[in-house]
Amino acid sequence: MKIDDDLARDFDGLLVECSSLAFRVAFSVLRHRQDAEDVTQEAFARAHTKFRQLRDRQRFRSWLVRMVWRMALDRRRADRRRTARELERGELNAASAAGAAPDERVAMLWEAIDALPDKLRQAIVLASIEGHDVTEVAALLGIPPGTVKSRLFLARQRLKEQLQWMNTGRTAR
Amino acid sequence: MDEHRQDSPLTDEEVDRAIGELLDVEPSPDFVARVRTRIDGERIAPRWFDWRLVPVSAAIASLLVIVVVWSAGKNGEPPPQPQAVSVAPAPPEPAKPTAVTPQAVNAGTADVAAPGRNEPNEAPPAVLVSRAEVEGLRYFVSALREGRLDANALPSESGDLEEPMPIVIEPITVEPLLSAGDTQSGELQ
Repeated sequence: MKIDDDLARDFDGLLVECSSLAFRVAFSVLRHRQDAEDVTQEAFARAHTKFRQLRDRQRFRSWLVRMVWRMALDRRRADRRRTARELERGELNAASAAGAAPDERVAMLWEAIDALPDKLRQAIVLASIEGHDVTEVAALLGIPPGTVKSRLFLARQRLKEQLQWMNTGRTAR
Repeated sequence: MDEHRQDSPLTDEEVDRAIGELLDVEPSPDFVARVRTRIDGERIAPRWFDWRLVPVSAAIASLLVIVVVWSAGKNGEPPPQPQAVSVAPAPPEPAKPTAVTPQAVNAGTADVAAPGRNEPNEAPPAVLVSRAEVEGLRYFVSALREGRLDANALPSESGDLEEPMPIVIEPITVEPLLSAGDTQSGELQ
């Protein structure tokens, strides 16, 4: 009984600690609050059932992030229409710290992020969330820091090109 | 991203900041509470299968099997049988008549159907012959082979028997009970 109590306490601590990160990861893929919360909740529930088997608690964050990412991708594939609908409504940046950012710019940015290959997108999103550095992103993804560096470099390059091109194209219209 | 201009390229910091702003979202305040509720619900919900029960179930099943097998063996015990001696062929080296080796009588020791044994026996059924008779027969055969006994001196199957007396059967004469004349006169005899 004591072991179960300890496990429950550990898990609850990790739930509080990682809920924002997991939600943002899901949101970066789904761009829909409710869907992101659903996926994150599902991921936590799944993590809870397997939490006893996780020997190294330090790896919980990376384990959870990868699980949330995978589940969010699955959800997005199953619900592409809904994501597109939310994008059109401009409900995606409701909590933007910059205040009322123009919908068009937000849409452009999402479009550019969407155009990235999955591995590059994962790296740039994790690096942008909570100010993770290369080492932290590497730990979260379970890959060498050098690989993260190169992925971040490529992702930024492509994003810049894409945004520049979009910006030029739309202002020219 | 506000400060980037159309003609100047974006910097890495600007890109990171733009994405960071885009993803600067928090789950709803009751999100953690909802996750807790769900996890608690799953913990309380009865599960029809629990891996922890597997070893216990296996132990109980094994115990049941042992009890069933044991009780079946006890109830199905065959009644005591008379000692049976199977007549085994004579050994290649004839044994001395005085010392009966265990090998010579192994049929009488090893193949004795002991009571309580319920094992399937692939061998043909043993012929019930008394031990003394078996030993006597073996002694006789070994004596013949070693030449201690003259086979010619033994009585032949029919040599010493007398010729059977011929059976003489007298012819039977049958006399009629009544003559024809007696019948006509009407007298009865």
